[in-house]
Amino acid sequence: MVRSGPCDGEGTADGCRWIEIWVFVDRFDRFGVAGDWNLAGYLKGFWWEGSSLRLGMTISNGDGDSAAKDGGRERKRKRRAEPSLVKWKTEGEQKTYSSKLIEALRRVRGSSAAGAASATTDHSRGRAVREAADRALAAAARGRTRWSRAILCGRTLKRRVLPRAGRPKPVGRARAAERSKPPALKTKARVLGRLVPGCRKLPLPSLLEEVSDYIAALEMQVRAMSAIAEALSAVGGAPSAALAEGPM
Amino acid sequence: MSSRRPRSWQSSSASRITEEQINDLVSKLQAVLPEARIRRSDRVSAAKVLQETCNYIRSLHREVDDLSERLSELLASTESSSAQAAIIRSLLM
Repeated sequence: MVRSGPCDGEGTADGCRWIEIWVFVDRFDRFGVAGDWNLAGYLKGFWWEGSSLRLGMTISNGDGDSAAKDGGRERKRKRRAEPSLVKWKTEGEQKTYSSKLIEALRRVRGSSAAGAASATTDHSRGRAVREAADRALAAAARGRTRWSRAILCGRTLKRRVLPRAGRPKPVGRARAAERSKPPALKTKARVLGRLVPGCRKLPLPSLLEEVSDYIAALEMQVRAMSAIAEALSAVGGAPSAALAEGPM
Repeated sequence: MSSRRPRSWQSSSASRITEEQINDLVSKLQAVLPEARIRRSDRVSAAKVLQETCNYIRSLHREVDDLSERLSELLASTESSSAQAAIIRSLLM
């Protein structure tokens, strides 16, 4: 999964960071994006500079540590500890996510343009965008949570959101003896488990952990997508760019 | 289809999960909810917190869906070079 890119040889000061960057690019390729080395180079420059946000391949500042990277290194040490919620609030993490999402969106647009433009409705395109966004979000979680793994493995849970159906409660022979949770709580916990992907059969404590991480991740997703939408609509307002009618 | 869960170990581990622990987790969850940030009352029941959580997740899903629709429309209407400029701009902000 780790491999070196074309600009190997630069920035040998801190090998760890190079490895982490190329892992991200590799994950794009996993999702079928053709390797765009310009974008990869841009991403590399972006990452390396951290918050100073300079484009290009110049790697001068070995100091630029983004919270996401440090958090990632810390998390590698304590594997069994609960996933930290703070990372979803950092700017670095949001920018990571935005980059992944944008690359996935380019792919969605490419595929929808290649196919019959009349066949793809707005709704199916919207759904493709939603799925790409969710997959990118799950990838950003780096496989440490159940919901992210469930999203990456398959999207079967999301389509069928049953309103109230489901198995009736199992016969409570031994269950009547165990009254640690009142049934109202159990019902709500079950509904909650259905909302979060991959968490249907989780006991309550793990479920609550997953839920809090999922909520934090969703909030970040909303922020990132709003920012991208704002930027795109700002460009759409520009007179010279907006009225291009011909296909690219 | 009978659910042949290993009930014995599950109930023993469930009994170790005390009411207090659950309340603790629930209060942590409550701290994440947007409403609870406004009113920090300890008298909110666990069921209410779970209900609020469900509603909040549903609203977040709806928001993401709306944003996806919007993004798909925007992507379809802008050309690639200006989209790239927009993308770079959004990442710089």
